[in-house]
Amino acid sequence: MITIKAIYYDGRSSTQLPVLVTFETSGVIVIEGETLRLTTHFNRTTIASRLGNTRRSLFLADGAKLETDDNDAVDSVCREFGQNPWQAILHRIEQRWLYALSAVVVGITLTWAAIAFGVPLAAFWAAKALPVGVEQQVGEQTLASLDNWLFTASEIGDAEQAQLQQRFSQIAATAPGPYRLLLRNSKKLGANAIALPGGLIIATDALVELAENDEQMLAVLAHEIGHVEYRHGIRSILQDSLTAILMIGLLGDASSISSLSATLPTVLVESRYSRQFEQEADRFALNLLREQGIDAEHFARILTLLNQSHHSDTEFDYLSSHPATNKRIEIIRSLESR
Amino acid sequence: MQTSAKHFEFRGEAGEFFKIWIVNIVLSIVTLGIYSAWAKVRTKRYFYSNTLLMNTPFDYLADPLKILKGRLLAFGLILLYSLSALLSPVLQGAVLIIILFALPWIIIKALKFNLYNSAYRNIRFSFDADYLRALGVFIGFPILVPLTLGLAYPAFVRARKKFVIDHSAYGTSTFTMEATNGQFYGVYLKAAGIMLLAVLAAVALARLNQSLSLASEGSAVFALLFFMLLIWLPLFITIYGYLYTSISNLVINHTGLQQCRFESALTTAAICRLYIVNTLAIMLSLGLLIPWAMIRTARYRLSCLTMVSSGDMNAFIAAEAEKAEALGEELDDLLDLDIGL
Repeated sequence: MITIKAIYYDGRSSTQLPVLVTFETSGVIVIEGETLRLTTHFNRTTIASRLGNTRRSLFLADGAKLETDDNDAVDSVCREFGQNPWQAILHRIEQRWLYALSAVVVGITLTWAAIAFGVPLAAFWAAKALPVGVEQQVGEQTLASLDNWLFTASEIGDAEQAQLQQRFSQIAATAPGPYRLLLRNSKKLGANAIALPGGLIIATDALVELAENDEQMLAVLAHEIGHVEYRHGIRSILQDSLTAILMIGLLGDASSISSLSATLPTVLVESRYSRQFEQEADRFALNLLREQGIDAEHFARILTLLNQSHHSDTEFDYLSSHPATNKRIEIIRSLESR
Repeated sequence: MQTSAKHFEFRGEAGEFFKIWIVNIVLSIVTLGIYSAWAKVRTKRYFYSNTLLMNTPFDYLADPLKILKGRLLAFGLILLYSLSALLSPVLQGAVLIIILFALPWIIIKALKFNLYNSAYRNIRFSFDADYLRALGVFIGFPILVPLTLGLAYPAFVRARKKFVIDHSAYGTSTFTMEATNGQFYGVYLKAAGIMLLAVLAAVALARLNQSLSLASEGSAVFALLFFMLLIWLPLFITIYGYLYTSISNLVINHTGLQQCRFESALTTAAICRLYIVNTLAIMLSLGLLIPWAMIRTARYRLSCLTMVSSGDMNAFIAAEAEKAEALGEELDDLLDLDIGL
């Protein structure tokens, strides 16, 4: 039997009534005050979980409420009746600095793991589950806005275009998806190639002019086919949104002052993701080139040319999201010599 | 009955709250976000229960399960919106218009949920307002403000505050906010005056600097940066602090509840200091001092709040309040709307 001091509120008015509450071993609760005596049962009472040292609320079935400072006594009553054991555990965890500090370490590790492995994996599976039609529509949509904003019609001669298309369809035929090569002119982009979700690959006139032969051109296109094969476009959209959602989930309750701390890691991990994608596409391109009997040296050469052409002035840097070109060329040569 | 002043008191402690906060975060990650609903309730409960008036705490009563459901639904809706953006701009535009008209509804529902789940002495607060009025305040005014080149802005702020307070109730007693448009315009006029003076001073200083300097371009850039950091940043923080302080004080000092009225004595200097120290501490600690910042902000704000009552504090009567669902509140949370009370 445990008796505690509490304040009683009937739930109809704001009147405070000091009472003594007795918890009997049978589960009966007796509430006694100056103008009040009532009995109820433990099973019809909801006890709020303990939270720091804040005053405890006990809600009675009829809408009345008891408030008490005697948290320890309420805890022992809960223990006796075996109510909400996990709430007691939660409070014990929240009480100790050792647990709190381990939580900091665990929290940082888990966040890092979620961003480094969880998000890419989830995006990968989500992209797989996405209907092909959706991906194609996203691609068409992007192409339409790029055509408005960035591109003009290609000025490459018909004969050269036809030859390029023919060689492109040769290498694209070995990859599963349907592919389309589009040539466009763009001053802003300079020598560049873009892969859109759904199999649209755009090469700029400047790139065609930069390439010293068809093989170099095909190397770049093979790299872009790699992006489509691995669905990098749609995956990076999904990864960005997932990372943002994760950050909101983590810091959402931490008030809005934290918006900076939410965006900073997002920006940092994005560049990491894109580097992984570039390496994947490079490996894909090397395999495709080998199958077609094209020397990987062409790939290394066009990368060097691209690097030189972008060194000075264009607004959009093709290579900015790519790993350092020298390192890529090194990797390509080492794979080739094997 | 004679008038007496009752001070609000905040008993939360940064150390105690830090432990609750960090456990919340880790459990939220481990449960893939599901625990975040419980985390939200625990955080809110901690702040409510540590806010005391006449040695009696406030109570936050929301059911985490309801919050979780609301959160999932809100999340689904926002996901749908993002997907529509990928598919076609027309669809996105249509969804955007729907959201615009749903906004007043979301705001009403969010306020309803928050107030219904707030209680003091076992009597719940409540919120009740009709859609059309909210449409006028939250959609009508924001259209009017740019059309009047911002001149309607103080009236918009007042309408927002008045809407929220006048439709709130404690039990059967409704709150009222009596501050006039003239008083709101006064505050903004003063802020504009300070701004104007500062700009004039800066221009004068720049002129002086120009006539004195024989220096190269490099030091001119340096001087410009110096100006930005040394004059503009403190100026903006001061103006922000001044507006926040004056508007909060104005609103609270003109809010009444039956025989009670409220007094707020925030000062611009203290608010600015709080804001600067909090921002620096959070940035330097990579977020670990967020709980500390939350606690000291609440402590300062409540230490400035007083209730002056000339009636019987035992005489408030509970109302038959309808239950509130969490969808509006969670949409509001995710969309990061600023209802502002």
